[in-house]
Amino acid sequence: MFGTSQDITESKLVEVELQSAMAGDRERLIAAGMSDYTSKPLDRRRLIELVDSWRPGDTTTRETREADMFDDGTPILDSHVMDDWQAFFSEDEFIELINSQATDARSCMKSLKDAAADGDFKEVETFAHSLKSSCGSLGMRRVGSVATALERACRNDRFEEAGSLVPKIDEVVAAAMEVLEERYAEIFEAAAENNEKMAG
Amino acid sequence: MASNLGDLKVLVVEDSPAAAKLLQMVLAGLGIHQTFIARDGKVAQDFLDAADDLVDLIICDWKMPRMSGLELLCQVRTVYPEMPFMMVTGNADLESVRAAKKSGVDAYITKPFSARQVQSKLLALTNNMTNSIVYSD
Repeated sequence: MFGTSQDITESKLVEVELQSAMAGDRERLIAAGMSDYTSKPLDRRRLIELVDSWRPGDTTTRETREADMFDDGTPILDSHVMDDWQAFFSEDEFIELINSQATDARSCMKSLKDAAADGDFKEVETFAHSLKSSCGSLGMRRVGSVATALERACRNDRFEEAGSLVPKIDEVVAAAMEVLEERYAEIFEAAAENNEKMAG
Repeated sequence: MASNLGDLKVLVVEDSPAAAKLLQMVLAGLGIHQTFIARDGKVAQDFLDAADDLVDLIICDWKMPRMSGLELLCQVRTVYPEMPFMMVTGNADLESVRAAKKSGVDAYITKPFSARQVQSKLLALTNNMTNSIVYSD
C-alpha cells in the first residue's frame, strides 16, 4: 500500500505517500506513529505547506494547516487540477469554466439540501453524484470525498449516516467556494475591469 | 471515422449541464467544434436514429435519467457496432469498468477528468490504436 517512506527531518518526520487516500487513513497513520502524510497525486502547494509546517519552531503554519485540512487530509482545492485547466484554457475560458461549474455546484447543493429535508434520499444520491462531478472538475477534492461517502450511504439505504453527511457536505462546499474565490479573485477582478472598459 | 481531431463530429450524452459544458469546452480546446449535446440516452438514441451520419464518436455519461449510458451503449452496439464509444463517468469502481467493457466500450475515463486524458483517448480512438479499453482515473 505504501509507495515511499523516508525520514526527512531531525524530528523523524515520516511522509507517506499513498496510492489512494481513503477516508480515515490520516488518523490511522498518525495513530500508528506517523507525523503526517500526503496522498497522491501530489499537490505541490500542499507538499510545500506541509514540509514548511514541520520546520523546527514553526507552529503558526502547522496550526493553519490543521484548520485547513479535512479529516482524511484531503485538500480543499487541488491546485494541480486548476493549474492544468488554467494552462489549457484561455483566461476567458478559465473564468467561464469556474463560473459554470461553481454555479452548478451551488445549485446542486441547494437541491440536495431540499431533497434531504424532504427525506428523499434517492434524490440526495443523484445530487451528491452531480456535486462530485462539478466540484471534482474544479479540484474540490474534499467535496468529492464527502460526496462519494454520501452517495454510497444513500445507495445502501444508510439514511441516518446520509443525513449526518448533509451538513458536512454543505460545510465543505462552502469552504471550497471560499478558497476558490480567494485564490482567483485577481483574475475575476481583472476580467470585470476589462468588461467595464469594453462596455464604456 | 475522421482522420484528425478537428474533423470529428462528437455526440456528447450528459444530463448535467455543467459537465456537458466542460466537455464541450475541452473538445473545442482540442479543435473539435462539431459537437451535439443530448441530455440522456433516449435523446441520444433518437438523434442517432435520425442522423447517425452526423456522429463519428460518442462521449457518454453513465448515470442519467430515462436511459443510462450503459443502456445506450448496448443499443449502439446493436445498431452501430463500429461506432467509437467513450464512457466518461463518476463510476470509478472496477465492477462498472468491467460492465462497460463487457458491453463493448472503447474507452473509459473517470470523472473528474483532465483535458489531457480526453485528448489521449480521442487520439487513440481516431488512430484506431485501441483494441482493448484502457482504464484512466
